[in-house]
Amino acid sequence: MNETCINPTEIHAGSLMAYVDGTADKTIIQHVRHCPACARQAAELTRLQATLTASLYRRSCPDTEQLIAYRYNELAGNEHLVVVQHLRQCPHCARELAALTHAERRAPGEWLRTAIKVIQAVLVPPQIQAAGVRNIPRMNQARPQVYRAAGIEIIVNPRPARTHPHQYDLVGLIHSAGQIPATIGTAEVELYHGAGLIAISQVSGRGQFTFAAVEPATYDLSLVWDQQEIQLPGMRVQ
Amino acid sequence: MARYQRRQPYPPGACYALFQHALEHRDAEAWAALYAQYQRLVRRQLGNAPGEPDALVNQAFERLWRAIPPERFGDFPTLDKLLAYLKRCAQSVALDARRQEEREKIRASAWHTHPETHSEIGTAPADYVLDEIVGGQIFAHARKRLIGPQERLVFRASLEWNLKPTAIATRWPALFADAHEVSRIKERIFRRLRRDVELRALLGIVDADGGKS
Repeated sequence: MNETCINPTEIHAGSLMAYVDGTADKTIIQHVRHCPACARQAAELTRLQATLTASLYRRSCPDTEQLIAYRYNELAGNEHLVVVQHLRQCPHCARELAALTHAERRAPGEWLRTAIKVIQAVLVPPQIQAAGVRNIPRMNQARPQVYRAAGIEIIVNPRPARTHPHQYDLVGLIHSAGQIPATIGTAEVELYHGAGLIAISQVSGRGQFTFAAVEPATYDLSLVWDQQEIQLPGMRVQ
Repeated sequence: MARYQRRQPYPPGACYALFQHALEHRDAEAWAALYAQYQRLVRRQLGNAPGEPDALVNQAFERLWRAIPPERFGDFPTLDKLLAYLKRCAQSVALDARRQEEREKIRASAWHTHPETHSEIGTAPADYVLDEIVGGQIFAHARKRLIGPQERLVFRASLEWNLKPTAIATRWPALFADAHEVSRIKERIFRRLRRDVELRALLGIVDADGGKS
């Protein structure tokens, strides 16, 4: 079928491609709507673009291990130059590299610092939970759960959330023999549900941390602090 | 872990010894202990990478296992170096997962718009391998049809990086006067490629008469 354009003066080189890319002006849009020949050509260009993009998207980007090696200045010679040249043009690889760099700046050495030692905390049976914590403010609510590890006591108290019915705010306190450790303000507590990391709470200088509006379930906590990670498994919130 | 801690002295430390047993001696029990010890740290490094979390953690450890065979263990004389490498494995898995998600979105969009193309390619690993091979052929074939640096850049920016003409013109103002110029060059490339019988066959584009060109 040899269709011809209804008004060739309205269509110039690049007009149909602009239409396909959504950057055409109103005249072009109106023309394609009324011209079967141009509508068919635009459909073919759309299809070709879709299939080519599906096949070629990021085809010549360096693989992720190469990009990470570049990040750590481990590439040499031609391989280094190829990646440098690529990064000057490719917005996706530049974004990935920026994210890698940002992650390193945000937490320099965190991986190594936190990876040195992993300790499993012990859940203290309920009948002795109140001992030694009576004078600690705001921690005398019902059903607190107390964990101990490496001379540290971590008390976690689920309270019904004020703003979310059927959810709980978790309020925690970390102390050592009734004293708040001096460097506790550098610690973070991570909340896990199954395999997933749900939230991270920065511990205050007073040894307190909170997680707001948590669904009833059993969670694991990790206290990451002072070259160690203390894991608090099986914390029930209900 | 305690089992290995009791086996002191292991220079320079119990955790390093655990890596040594797992990687240099390929000790399955040590490998399981290593996984238990560091899987949370790997999980943290993976962050919110798309995919099934346990599978991603497994991939990171698998990369470590493959990358450090017994004869290469000597390249990692300290625990810091081993952990840094494990971290890199996790970073690499996270980036790959994000790239894969982007690709799947683009492919899903293409298949949704044109279900007749690529209908034979599924989502199994073997299909991805096939897709990679075909994609490589398409890439090599199409690039041979390009003329000059402007066409090559428009081709890459449009199809490899999925940039719109406006973004291309803004990013390379020395090469393109405006978005319309980019559209003109792009349309020229596409019309040339559309006439290419071999490329149409590689792309699985079916002609109006129902037969493949």
